[in-house]
Amino acid sequence: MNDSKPTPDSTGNPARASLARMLELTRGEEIDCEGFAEHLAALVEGNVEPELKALMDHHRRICPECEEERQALERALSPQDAT
Amino acid sequence: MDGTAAIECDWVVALRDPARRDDAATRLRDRVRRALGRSFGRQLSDADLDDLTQDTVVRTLAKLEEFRGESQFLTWATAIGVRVVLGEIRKRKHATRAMDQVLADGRDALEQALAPKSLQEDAARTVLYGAIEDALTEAQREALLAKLGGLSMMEIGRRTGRNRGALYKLLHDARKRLLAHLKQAGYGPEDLLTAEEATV
Repeated sequence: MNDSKPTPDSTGNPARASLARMLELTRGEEIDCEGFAEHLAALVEGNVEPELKALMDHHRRICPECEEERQALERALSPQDAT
Repeated sequence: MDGTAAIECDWVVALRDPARRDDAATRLRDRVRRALGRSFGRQLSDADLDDLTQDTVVRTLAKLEEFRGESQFLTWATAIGVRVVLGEIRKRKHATRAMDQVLADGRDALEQALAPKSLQEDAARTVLYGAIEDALTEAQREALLAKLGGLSMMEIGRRTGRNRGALYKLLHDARKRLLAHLKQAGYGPEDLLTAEEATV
């Protein structure tokens, strides 16, 4: 192999990074998306117990969709033009 | 009971009361519509937001008995709305992609991701590729490929007839199985990455 020749790896591979990250973040016990959704409102209000918050924070790292939902809820509740 | 709790209770009481329900539902619709507009006003038309707000109110009423007061009622109802809206956005995003195409794209992404470059990476990636092929169930492999193919969890669940909780568990079990295979062979997730990727 010619080392100076650019390869796809030199710029990173999103699917490989995603696989590695999924495995790196894998724990024996995790909260699932339904559990996350069940407590999301309490999370954005800061009303969850530390143990549950740790599980939810971990879930946010591994599940971009649930994190997107949390951010969307934060925006929806933002007081800037609330009445 | 403090003032906030009384107001929250009032929402639930009013929505349960046949005599007050319509008025309370109208107020709820207005509040949720404003909140969803703040978050999604640039992504959806007014008509879409109106429809999705109505859907949110219907779902909120259907789930009313599940409200346990962990948060303010309007925060809880808005969280339901956020899921309704994002569900629709995600569904539209992938509406034109057939499941076969998604799985084929996922297979391409997997094969590119695990193509060997150096001996070290080759070994770890070969272990993982083999585990995906041999150690996962058909359902786990399909869900993983669909995810690599770019489909959202919500949309994978919708197309495979699973709720997100069941789908998450399916993939969580798959991840644990793949991780165990990697570790058994003496590797970790970091061994899948190139040196450049590992430092990002």
